[in-house]
Amino acid sequence: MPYQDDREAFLDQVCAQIRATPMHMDIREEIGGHFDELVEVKLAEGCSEEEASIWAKAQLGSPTELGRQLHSIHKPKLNWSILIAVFGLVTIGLVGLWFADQYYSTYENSNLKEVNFFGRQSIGLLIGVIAMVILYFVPYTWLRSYAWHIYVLISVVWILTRIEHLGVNGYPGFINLPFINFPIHIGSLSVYLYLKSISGMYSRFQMNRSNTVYFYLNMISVSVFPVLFLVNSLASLAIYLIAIICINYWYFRSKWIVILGSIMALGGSSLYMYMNERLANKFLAIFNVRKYAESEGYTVFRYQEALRSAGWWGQGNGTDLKYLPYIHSDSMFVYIVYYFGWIVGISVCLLVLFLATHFLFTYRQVRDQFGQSLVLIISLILIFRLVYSVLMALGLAPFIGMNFPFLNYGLSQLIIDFAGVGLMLGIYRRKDITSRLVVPM
Amino acid sequence: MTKMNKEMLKGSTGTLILTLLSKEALYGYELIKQLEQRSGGVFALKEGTLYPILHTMETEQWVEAYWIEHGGRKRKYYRITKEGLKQLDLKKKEWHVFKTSVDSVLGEGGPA
Repeated sequence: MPYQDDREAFLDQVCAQIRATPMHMDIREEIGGHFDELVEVKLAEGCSEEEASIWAKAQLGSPTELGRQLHSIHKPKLNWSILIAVFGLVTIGLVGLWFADQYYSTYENSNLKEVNFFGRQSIGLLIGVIAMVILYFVPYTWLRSYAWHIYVLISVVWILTRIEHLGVNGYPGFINLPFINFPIHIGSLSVYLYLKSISGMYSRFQMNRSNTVYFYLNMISVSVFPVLFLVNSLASLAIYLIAIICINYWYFRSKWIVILGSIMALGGSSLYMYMNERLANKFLAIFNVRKYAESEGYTVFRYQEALRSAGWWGQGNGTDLKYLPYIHSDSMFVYIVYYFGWIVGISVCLLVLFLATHFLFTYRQVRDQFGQSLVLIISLILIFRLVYSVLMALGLAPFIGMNFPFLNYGLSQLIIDFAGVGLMLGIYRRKDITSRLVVPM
Repeated sequence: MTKMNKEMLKGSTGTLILTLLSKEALYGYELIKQLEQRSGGVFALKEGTLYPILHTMETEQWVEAYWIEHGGRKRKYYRITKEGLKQLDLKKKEWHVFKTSVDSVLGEGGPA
């Protein structure tokens, strides 16, 4: 029938102007449908198909003009704010590491002396940026397609660490790659991968509309299983628990999940703290610094001393510096405030706030459900660590092994976090060029 | 957004579309029909102008879209969002200010 051919030819002309191919299906369906309705009106009036087709085309106007306008709307977009803020933090961190290296070279304690943290972090930055760029351009839907594969793979890796003792120096969150001597923070990596793959699985199930009890049980066990592995890495466990409750609520919209999950998480962690007195003391140390100053609260005490004497412009190589443990990693933020002053310290806090706000904006602006869930996951992981690190430094939160994303020294962490940011930027990039009609599995 | 779309959104056409959508969710063809009817034929919006506006509003999140299957054909419905309602309110106020000031210059209408 001729008018359909006319319609397709018209739509071809429109789509020829639109570079974003994923949008073509949606646009063809929407404008093609309009074309058909216009034709039907004319046919009902008794016109021939040819007349109806001509009239419909006249109503719609120039296809190239329409195409051009739609093209200018459906374009990839880069979230500059997030990119700049992340690089801001990394730069401050690098400057801090440079001076830390200088300080360590005067240090008696030799194993920190020739490490060259600045150089290593720079290499990590380079690899991280490459990872970020790759994840920026690769469509994030592959995470949903390979959700099960990722989940199984990361679980296998965890099981292997138990069997092959790939751990590093007894640090619970690290593994060593068998052939290269490069420790990977498996705790952090697995949190990202578990959460994303679980979201992928939920997304697929939601599309298949399995709503049976069997399905819910399946999903709950899938969510709980990783806890077995993450138990040793407290920071990762905490983040995972918060995020998995959010994700479950996000997909199932049931407040019972939040209540039940929170009770289980709180109950579990209270039990864990009860059985582990040292941990409990760390928690109590923030409430009474003096009492625990000689034991678990020692670091907090030293931090508060350093922060108090920092001033606006810092103390440089002051006396308190030697009491701060591991200024290149654990004490990085406090060290920066002490060395460079509160002006820099407040700037870091503002950058953290800025980043968190823009993560939230990104979340709101992404319209694809799966993409949104991934943005939520990455935001939770990064915001929790960013904010908690600041609170830890200020003595407002119990001391656990966590690193300050982008600021601290931590090669694998830096690369993993950059990958996460790359993924988020990639999702934002596609927010206006994602089809909601054709959903790739 | 191209310059033209920005103008469109700022102009009255955008306001009219938002008004219609604030009353009920509509798809493209319905919107044009309703606009024509309610304005007594004065506003005959061209389809070619409508869709860029709708798509821009969707990116700005003043409206949200969803597909509904109807007799073998899929239709893209648009519904106004909270942000869209805020924008509409803003536009209405702007229009009121404009209208009253023009009226007072022309020497017609009541108190400014």
